[in-house]
Amino acid sequence: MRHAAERGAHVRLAGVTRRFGDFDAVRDVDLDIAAGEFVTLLGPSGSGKTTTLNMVAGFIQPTAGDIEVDGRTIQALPPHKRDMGMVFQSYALFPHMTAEENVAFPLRERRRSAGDIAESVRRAFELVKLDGFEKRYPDQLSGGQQQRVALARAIVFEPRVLLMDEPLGALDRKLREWLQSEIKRLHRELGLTVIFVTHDQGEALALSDRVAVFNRGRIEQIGTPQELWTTPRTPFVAAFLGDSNLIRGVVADDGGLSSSSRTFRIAGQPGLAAGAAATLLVRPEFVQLARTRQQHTDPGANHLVGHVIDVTFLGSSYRLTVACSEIGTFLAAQTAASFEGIAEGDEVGIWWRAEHGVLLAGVDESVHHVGNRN
Amino acid sequence: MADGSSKQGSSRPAWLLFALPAGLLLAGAMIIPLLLTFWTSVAEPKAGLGNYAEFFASATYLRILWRTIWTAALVTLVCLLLGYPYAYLMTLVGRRTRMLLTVAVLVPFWTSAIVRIFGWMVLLQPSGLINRALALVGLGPFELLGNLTGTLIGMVQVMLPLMILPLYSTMGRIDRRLMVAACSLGATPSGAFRKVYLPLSRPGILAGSVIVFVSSLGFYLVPQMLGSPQQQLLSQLIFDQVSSLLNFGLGAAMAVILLAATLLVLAATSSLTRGSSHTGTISLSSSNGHPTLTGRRPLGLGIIALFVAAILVAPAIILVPLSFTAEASFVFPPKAWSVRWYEHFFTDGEWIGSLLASLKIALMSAIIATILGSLAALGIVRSRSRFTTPMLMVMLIPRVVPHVVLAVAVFAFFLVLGLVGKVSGFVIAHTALAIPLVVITMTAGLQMLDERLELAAASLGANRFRQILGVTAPLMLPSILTAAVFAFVTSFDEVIISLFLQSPFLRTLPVKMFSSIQDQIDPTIAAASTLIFLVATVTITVSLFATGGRHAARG
Repeated sequence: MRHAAERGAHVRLAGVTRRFGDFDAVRDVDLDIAAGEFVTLLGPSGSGKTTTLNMVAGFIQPTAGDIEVDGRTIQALPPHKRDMGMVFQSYALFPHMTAEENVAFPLRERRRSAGDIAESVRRAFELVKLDGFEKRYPDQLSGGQQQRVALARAIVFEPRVLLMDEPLGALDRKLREWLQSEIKRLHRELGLTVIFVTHDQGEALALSDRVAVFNRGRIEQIGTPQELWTTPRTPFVAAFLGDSNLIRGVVADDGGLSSSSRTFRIAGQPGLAAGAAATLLVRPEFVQLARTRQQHTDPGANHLVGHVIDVTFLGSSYRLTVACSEIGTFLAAQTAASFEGIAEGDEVGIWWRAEHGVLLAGVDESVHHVGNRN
Repeated sequence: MADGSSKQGSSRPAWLLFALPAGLLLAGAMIIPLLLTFWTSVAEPKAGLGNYAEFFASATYLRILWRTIWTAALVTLVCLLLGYPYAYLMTLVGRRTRMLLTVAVLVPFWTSAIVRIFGWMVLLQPSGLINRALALVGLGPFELLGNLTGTLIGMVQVMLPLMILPLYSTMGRIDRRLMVAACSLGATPSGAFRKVYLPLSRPGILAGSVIVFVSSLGFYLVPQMLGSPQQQLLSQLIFDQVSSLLNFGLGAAMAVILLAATLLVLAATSSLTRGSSHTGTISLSSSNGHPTLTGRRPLGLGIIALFVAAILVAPAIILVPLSFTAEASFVFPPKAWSVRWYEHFFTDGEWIGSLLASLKIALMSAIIATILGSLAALGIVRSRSRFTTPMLMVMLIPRVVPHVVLAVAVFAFFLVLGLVGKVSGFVIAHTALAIPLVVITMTAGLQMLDERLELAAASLGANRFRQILGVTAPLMLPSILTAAVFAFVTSFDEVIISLFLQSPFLRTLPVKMFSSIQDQIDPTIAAASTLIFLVATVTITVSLFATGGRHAARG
């Protein structure tokens, strides 16, 4: 990516807000996207991510704030002068044009010469591996093929920014995963700045350099996929990315978390004031299970007991749901290799090391208490 | 998912400027004349409610009003009784048969009113085909013309499509599995029909009945030509008051009464028809998709459907062979064949002159109406402001107001402006009449158009103008063509307003036909009818192919 980084543009959103009537669809969004970076806007529907994308594209005017490309504001530019490629949710291919005519469209609008157009279109079809389908109409192409035509059309005029609005949403899983890797490859080869919108956390984690998590019109957190997964800043982010166990309570004197029934140990957390409302995150991947109620003496660990109410085989791993009398249902994950053959109804002991608990400030009523599955 | 897509964007009232030209034309050609009609009704011959008092004091007038309402009710009932089984059968049969049944329903739409009525005159006359067929089984002869029977037959044929289409669209959405479910729960087939199907089809029954009843209140041509002069309906009364007696005040009052009756019925039934649009189904179940769910097709249904199809098609078809007769009469079948009546048509200055006038007026009206109506539809769809619905209502005025009312209003106004007997007068009136059809067609088309395609074009570098030229217009071409055809046919067939606007030097073809039916009647009319039928059929077929062809070609 680095070698081609000069092709991408630096995009900056500063205090961008969009109001519809008295409803803030997007509130005070700051986002600084480096040239050539792949940034995903992730969030549930209605969280403002698509509105944000549409403001970058120029389809919606911000109520307040500024959007800059390479340090120059683009507020006054109409969409057709912004030079950004866009892949729409349902592709928005022109049904009255062949695939080739669709891809040639932006070049024709730019009055390129016929020879130039033919060459660029050919290369674009090669790039998305769709050569041979040039003469087909959109309704003669499969969903995945349409998606790649849309992609070719969005990059053929060599824009410096590529916007993608849930481009894989309508495809089945296998195709989606393959296209994910294709999008990654194109990003690497072309060095574009990509802004990608999705509600699928797996897609966001797999594709992005950085992810901006949207909730109710605001960005909750921006970070690399690893940062968001290991050190989420809010319960919402913790629950939205990956499976999670969230325990509500208040910060104890020793820096742990006091829930209704007991206090959990947490190691090395930067201090939250004692008595503040907080949420403890434990990823199921860090939860250990033992069939027997053996007394575990690890002093740095938190222990619970319960019985297994569900075992789900996911291929490479098992997900176990444990009912604990103290805090409710709890999720644990075991790799298929380390699975110990625990069955539904088994009494088990659960524990996790203190350093695997993450203390989050605040309590979010909108997210489930424990056992969040994604 | 599509949160904050431009769909939920705020209103954009600037778009409404696109609707301005059409709005101005409608205001000048329809709305101001209608308002003046109100004024005339209380101002002439002297100020006050004298005209209304005269109307409601006259036993004759009240009888005519009552007869008008009663006839409309009768037409509605007959249409429902004939249309329901027909529409029901349409949902049961295979694709090919359904196609034929649909074409039969649409025939009255593209047969000019005057042609249809003339066809009935030929069929229903004492020595006509129907009486001779009845004589074969020892019945008749019956008086079918010049009385209520004639009026009824003529009106039912015109109104049947307006009954059948809403019925069919409702029935098509009824999930036939509900009937199977009812039977599995212990209902007899007829019980299931009565308790499940009939209630679910109620929205269609209501919609169809309201349209038919309201339209039947305003009939002029059918009762005038097929009915009895002693049994006038309100429209005929209005026409005579204004056209022969030049009694503008009383005529205007009667027009207001007819309009009021129409709007009253619409208002009274609007809550009924709106609230009940659910059909108890989730999917557009294709009725022939599943063999076990295809209902039985009792023989009786088929017979009724054949009868209805005959009513729909017969008057249009009968004139084709008659136009090739060698005699100067309408005996069917002709004893000898010739093309002498076509020769006469194309050599007679009056006939050919009226044809050319009609073509010219229809072409100009179609072009103007298509442009103004399309712009208006674009403005209405895109503005999304709170004026959208009122604007749409204004655009539809020429379709809601009874034709005779429009005609007397336009006549009185155009007299003042000096537009009577002028091509421009015809074009303005016909354009105003055609705009609603264009607006409806284009609005439907534009609403189906994915607005994101324009956004996509914008993101790819196309400016507003190029977006519309490169994406919107080609995608809308089928709708534009359809709208233009509707507009052309509307003008080409228009009779009543044209009767008022004609001069000895400017007559459209339907007007010429109307007057020659009244005085010297010879098979030239059949030749003219066949030509009109041909023009309409060719226009519609070509537009069907032009609009459906590209998609069909790509499978």
